[in-house]
Amino acid sequence: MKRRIGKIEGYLYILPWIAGFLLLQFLPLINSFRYSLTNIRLGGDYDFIGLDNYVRMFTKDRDLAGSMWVTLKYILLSVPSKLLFALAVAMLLNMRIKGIRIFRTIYYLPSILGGSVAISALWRVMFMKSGIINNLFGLSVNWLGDPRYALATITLIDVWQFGSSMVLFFAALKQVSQDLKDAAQIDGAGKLRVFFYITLPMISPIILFNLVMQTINTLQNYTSAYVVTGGGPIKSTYVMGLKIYEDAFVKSNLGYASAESWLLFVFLLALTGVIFLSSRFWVFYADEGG
Amino acid sequence: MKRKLAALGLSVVMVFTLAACSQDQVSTATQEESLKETTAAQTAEETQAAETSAAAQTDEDVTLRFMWWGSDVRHQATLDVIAQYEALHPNVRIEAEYGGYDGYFEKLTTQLSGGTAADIFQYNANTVSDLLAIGDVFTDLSDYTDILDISGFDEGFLESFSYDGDTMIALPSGINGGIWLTNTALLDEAGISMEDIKTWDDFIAAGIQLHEYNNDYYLFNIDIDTLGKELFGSFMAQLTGEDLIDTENYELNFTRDDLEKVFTLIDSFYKNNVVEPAADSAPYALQINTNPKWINHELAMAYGATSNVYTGYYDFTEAAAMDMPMFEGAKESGILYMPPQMIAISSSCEHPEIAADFLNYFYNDENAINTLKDCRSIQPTEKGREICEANGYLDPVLVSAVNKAVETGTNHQNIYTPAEIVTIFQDATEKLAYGQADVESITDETMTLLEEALERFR
Repeated sequence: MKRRIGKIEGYLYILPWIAGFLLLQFLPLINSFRYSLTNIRLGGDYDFIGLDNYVRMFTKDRDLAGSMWVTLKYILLSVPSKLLFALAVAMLLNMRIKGIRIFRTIYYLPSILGGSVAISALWRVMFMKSGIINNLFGLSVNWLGDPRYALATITLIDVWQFGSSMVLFFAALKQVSQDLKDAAQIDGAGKLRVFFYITLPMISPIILFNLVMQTINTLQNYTSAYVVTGGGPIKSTYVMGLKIYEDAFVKSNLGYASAESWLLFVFLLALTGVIFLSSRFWVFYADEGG
Repeated sequence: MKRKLAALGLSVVMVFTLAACSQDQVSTATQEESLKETTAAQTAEETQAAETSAAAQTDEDVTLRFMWWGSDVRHQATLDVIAQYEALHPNVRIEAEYGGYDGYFEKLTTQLSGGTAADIFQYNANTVSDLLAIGDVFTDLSDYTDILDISGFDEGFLESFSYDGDTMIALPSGINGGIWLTNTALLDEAGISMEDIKTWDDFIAAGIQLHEYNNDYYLFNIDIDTLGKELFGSFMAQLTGEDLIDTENYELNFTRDDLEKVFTLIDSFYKNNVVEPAADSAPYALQINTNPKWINHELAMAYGATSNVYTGYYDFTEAAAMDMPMFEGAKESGILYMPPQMIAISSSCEHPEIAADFLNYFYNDENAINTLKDCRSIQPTEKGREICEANGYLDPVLVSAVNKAVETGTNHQNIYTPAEIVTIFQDATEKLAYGQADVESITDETMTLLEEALERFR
């Protein structure tokens, strides 16, 4: 009897999350798949059209391949840059210097401000040809208008929000045993060698976690592209998130946009699958032994 | 076990406390609102300004939502008119929802399909087909003409833009004309006369002459979005004398040759330096007046709608509205002549009579007209125009552009072209602007995309 009450009690504790998950995530997920098999438009009636939306994606949509390619480039540019930057800053903040706590707070600020529309609008003004960036460095680069630079420019906004990855790296760096480093140094290892052979393997599980989370975030993010470049010029920043948004809410093709969301979902699954499969070659878990 | 139960109890208490807090906040807000309403009622009584109206005939507290987009000047003027109306009708509260146009259309369509749209909302006249496709989203204003006086509106204008069949779905917020806003001093400097630019060939020749005179100068300040949408429709109206598509059968109203001719014109703008290179002007899309070259008087003319030309849009003294250049043998002028926006009452509005009463105040009251001035272009009612003219609220350059539009505005304004079709033209224009391919292949590709999209609509 006591055990049974304990069980019910446990379910009650997780009920808010379960209810939220079912109503706000699971149900929309199922619905989006259902819609992907229809020709539903905003507010309109719809018919089931089988796999037509999926067929159209691969046979008639001339923007899809380009958009997927831009999304892949965006991930390849953004995620490694962000993680490298976050790790570098975390290492700096791991040093014992006066006022380090204040620095830690300041460096986390960009993540609190986030990738909001206001911040994106600010970046847009900063990166205009006559903006502060060009004026500050005496450049005349067309950051937003030139298709060669536009994607890199919106990637910078992402990199700027390195705070959450940095905090995780920072916590991981704190966990690296000083004994191991000391032992390596006694054996004659220099600082670089200690970093590559002790620190990096010890924090590799956190690198994996950050890599997966940031890949997911980047794949879903379209605010920067929407506000800063609107997907242009000539679709050089037309990431899949933005394409899905436009197909759904500008062109009103909700059914087709739902099908694209599922394609993106499968793409994300494949990408994270590859990351997880590769992880056994480079992630070191101390409890599994060397 | 006890500790666990205590924790569970605390969680439950916390949830209820939070809910109660929100309730308290609501109660406090209600009390504040009620206090505000009482004060407003007293003020209204004191001024004895309350008029006999639908809102005055009921004591019921009514809250309406009014959503629009615009510039700060428009926001402030509209908020002031709302405050005036609320002071006259203490039982009515109008919640303002406003911002820029970015994302407005998407927000509106989503709200309309979800049944959560504002009671009164502004929309772009040329998005009406997308809104109608959502379903029955408009209140028929002709049911409220005893409250909402429409006698001051031009009947022909209403017939063109306010009706869907027999249903009066909205009223125009003003009269809008396409304007070729020209810095004549800059043209004079290069020995170009605005009056000599009659055809598109003249236009391109003037552009070449100006750029040759000074490499920093360009004739035309335009963004790809406007060029591929409004102007594209104008070019095609000149060539065909028709809307872009026949929205009953979803057929194209132009041929491949027509399309190639228009694309060739757009291509020649960029190839001959009539317009600034696309990469340089792209960041100023839909805000061409913020382009530093425009501010520095290095761009001689800008095309846009008069409703978008607000105070501070240009600062050169020798300004004029040029006549729109034409193709040889053009069938129509191609000049934009349509409402800057439409204002409608949503079908989900629970108090359409009060919303109609507010719109009556908005359009016909002298105080409201004096407050709104030209924030939505030239006023749509005769009384509004008279008051604005008498008080000198209007920029004479804009007035001359609107007068030209009234006299020679094109018959086909493409207000029923779906957004999906428009984006095809805009994408093609962008490719031309960036020199991505030759005119012929872009024409072929565009024709294919159009046929595929129209097939889906059919």
